Amino acid sequence: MTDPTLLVLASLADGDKHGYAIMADVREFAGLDLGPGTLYGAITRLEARGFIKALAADDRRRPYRLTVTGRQHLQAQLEALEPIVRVGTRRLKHA
Amino acid sequence: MTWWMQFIVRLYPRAWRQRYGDELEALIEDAGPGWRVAVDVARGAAMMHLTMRFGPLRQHVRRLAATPAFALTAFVTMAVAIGANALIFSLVNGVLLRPLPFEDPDRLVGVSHVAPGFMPGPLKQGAFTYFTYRDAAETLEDIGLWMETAATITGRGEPEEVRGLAVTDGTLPLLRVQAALGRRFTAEDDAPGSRDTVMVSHRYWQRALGADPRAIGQSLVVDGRAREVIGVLPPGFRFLRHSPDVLLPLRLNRATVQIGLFRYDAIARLKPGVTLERAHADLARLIPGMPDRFPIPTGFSREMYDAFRLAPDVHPLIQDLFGNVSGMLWILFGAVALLMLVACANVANLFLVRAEAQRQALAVQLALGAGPARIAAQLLGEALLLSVASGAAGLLLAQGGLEAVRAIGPGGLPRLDEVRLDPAVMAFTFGIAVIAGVLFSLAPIARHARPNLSEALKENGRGSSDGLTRTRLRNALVTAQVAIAFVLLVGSALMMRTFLAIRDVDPGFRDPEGVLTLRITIPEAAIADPAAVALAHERILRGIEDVGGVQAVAVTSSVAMDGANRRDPLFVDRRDQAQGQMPPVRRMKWTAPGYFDTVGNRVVAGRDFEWDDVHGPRHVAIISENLARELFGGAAEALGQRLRPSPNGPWREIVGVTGDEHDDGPMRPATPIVYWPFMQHGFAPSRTTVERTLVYAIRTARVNDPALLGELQQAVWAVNPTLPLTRVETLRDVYARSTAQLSFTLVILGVAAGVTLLVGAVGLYGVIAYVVAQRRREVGIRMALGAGAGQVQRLFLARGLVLVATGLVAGAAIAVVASRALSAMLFEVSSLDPAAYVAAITALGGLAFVAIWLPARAATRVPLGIVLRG
Repeated sequence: MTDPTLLVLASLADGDKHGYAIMADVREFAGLDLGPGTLYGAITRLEARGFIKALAADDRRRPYRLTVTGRQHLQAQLEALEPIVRVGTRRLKHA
Repeated sequence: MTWWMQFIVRLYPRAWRQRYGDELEALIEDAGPGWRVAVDVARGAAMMHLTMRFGPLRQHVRRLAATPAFALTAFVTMAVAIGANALIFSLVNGVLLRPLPFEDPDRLVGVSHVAPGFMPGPLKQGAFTYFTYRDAAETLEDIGLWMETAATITGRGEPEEVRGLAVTDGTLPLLRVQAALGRRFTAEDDAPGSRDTVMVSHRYWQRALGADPRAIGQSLVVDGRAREVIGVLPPGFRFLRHSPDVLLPLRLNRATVQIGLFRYDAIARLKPGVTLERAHADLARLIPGMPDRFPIPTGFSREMYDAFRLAPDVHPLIQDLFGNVSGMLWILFGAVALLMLVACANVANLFLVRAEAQRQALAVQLALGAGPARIAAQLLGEALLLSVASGAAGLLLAQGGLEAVRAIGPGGLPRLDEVRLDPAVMAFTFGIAVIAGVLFSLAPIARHARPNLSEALKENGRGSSDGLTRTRLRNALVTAQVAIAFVLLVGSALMMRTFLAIRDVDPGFRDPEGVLTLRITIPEAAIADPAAVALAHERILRGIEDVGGVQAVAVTSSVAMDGANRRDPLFVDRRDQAQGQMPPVRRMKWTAPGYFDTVGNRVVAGRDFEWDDVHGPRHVAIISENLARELFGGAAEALGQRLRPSPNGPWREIVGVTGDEHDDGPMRPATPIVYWPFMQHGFAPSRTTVERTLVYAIRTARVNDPALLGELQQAVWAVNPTLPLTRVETLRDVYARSTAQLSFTLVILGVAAGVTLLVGAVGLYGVIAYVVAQRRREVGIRMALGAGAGQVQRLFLARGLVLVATGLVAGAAIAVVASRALSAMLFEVSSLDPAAYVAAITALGGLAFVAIWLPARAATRVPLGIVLRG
């Protein structure tokens, strides 16, 4: 669940962001510090697979957008995680 | 951004930095410097290198894995083909191409002679030629003689026979071989009458002398004579095909040398810059003057010497190592190269079919802007990955094959234990794998990296004119496979016919697996008197007769096909030669009563030797039937005729004629042979001579009984406890050795032909199956309109058979030319043997028919509804 590509996709789900904005967002919603190397590794992979696309940039800070397939992929990933979260939480309660 | 952070960012691949570099730097500036960030960025750079380098590889693997049947077929085909090529190349490289392990080997030459007026074929070196060349040749740095010899070492436990090499004092220095310990032979060691000395191999020094440096100066009893150990050879010393345990000085006595007796091998080192031609001319210049330097033996004349037409033969020394194996190895290399071609054609075909199956996917990629270069890179990458992986597997196969070849030791291949899959073999294997990979991808790239986009997208795989071109290319590849498979099949069939023909030859012995042979030498130091030696041999023979299970035993100087080759001119009474003329040389053997009977030869006329012929002063001889026919017109006519091995000395009466012996191997004509009793009176002028080394042939049912050898040993040692039994083997082993090269060629050619046939059949199957798949709708419609299954099948059969017939015709044309290369290895079979061609046509045609019929039959078995819907 700390897969950086999933975190990036989740961060872009509510709108376009550039690198530093994604880092800040992830820190806020997941409590995780993504280093620049890790973040750009994830961005490279996601763009190569067509899940995100780069937008035109005014300066060196380039924003990224979730594509339709990226959205579908994120959806599928989250749905796969959902039963694990649900069952795990329930079992912890009954333990 | 700090300089060291900039440095870390620079660690990313250049292509990546061009796209993301600015953004990453901006992010690092926003995030602020720190060692955590530095570590993270450095790790990211490393991962990016890995991803970019191996990312495409992973994609290739994924794509190949998506078509497992294709990938596996191509992989196995190529691995077998590359493995066979790597194996044979390692032999060619290790045996033929590697230089001799001596300093400046290009200047080392073998020196022999020819004398067309005396005998056909090569002649070795005489003492008189050696001394003349050493004294007067201007082109040679030095010349040395060598002679293989067996030596018996006693006084260190059980007597042991070791491999020996007798050399003159110049031999080691001209090879630039130094003693690892002690010293080499000097001119003084090589002079007759000087102190007896010996050099030992490093191996023998370790094994028998305890690797003790104090062994130098100690004494070693060789052939009953105490010799001082003066030096140890360097580790791994090997001379041509020989790995001697001991080196002895040859010690020729110049004072007694006469013209004649060519019994030594010679090597020489050319002076720098001297060519073979110049050396040849230099030595040839010295030949006419030799009778002025050395006396001519009585009975011979200057005219006879001139009539010999003696001439030197100076050749690169490495030729003496190859013998006749180079022809065989090149033929096998040719065969596996053909196998490689067929495998490549087949796999190229598979790639074409697969690329076409993926045509639409590729066209979509192009439409999405992938670019022809990227498509080409993808196709090439897949082909290379497959061929290089096959190459790696092929190397493993080759290693296994090499172990097998070493275990069999075929055909007297020299330096076999030194053959390795060394860097040269690796480079060769990698090279052919890469070339094959490029070849596979060429046709698919040419077609699909620049497709007519709209057509490819529209087309759904049936009946376009473009499809026709594709089919033609595939047809051509399949035809080529059939043609090459046919060539290899004809080659195998010819070798098989040769093998069968050889089995029918009566070699001059029967049931060789029941005859054990071993050698016993009685050195002069053990028994000096020739008559006593003859008696000792007879006593040993009687002792062996008494060993349980021995049916018969006899002695001879050489059994059939053991490679011994003693020849001398044979003078015949009645047909006495005109003055100044030499009679032809003949193979000579020395034997005793019972030999022909023991090995299963027969006495055709007259009688066998008796023991009185050996011990007494009778002058008798036995000759082979073919010699009797040649000299006297028949076996009966030969009896009572007289022969002698020199122009003077007593005549010897022919008392018997025996069946022919194929002494030079079953593929050679039976050798005319003269047999003498193994002790001779007056052979050399007024002297009694005896064969000290004799081969004992023992016919027994206990050949495989491990206890037998011990009992034989006891029987020998009861006569003299210092005599070792050596070279123990059956007559079958001797026979197998003489045909080993042929067997090896047969096996490799057979394997190459079999694999080619199979690969070709798979290719044919693939093409027809593809055509069938393409035309399923048409088949369905035809059948719906009432065509019978047979009719439809015939349609496809006809199409396949046209391909096969074209391939056969092309193959036959190539085979007619190519099989000539084999003719030197064929026996009683013409290279145009019709039976071989018919066999090849039958085998190939039969398998091809099955390969075509299977998919053709499948075409008519699919339910109609499915076909029409599909």
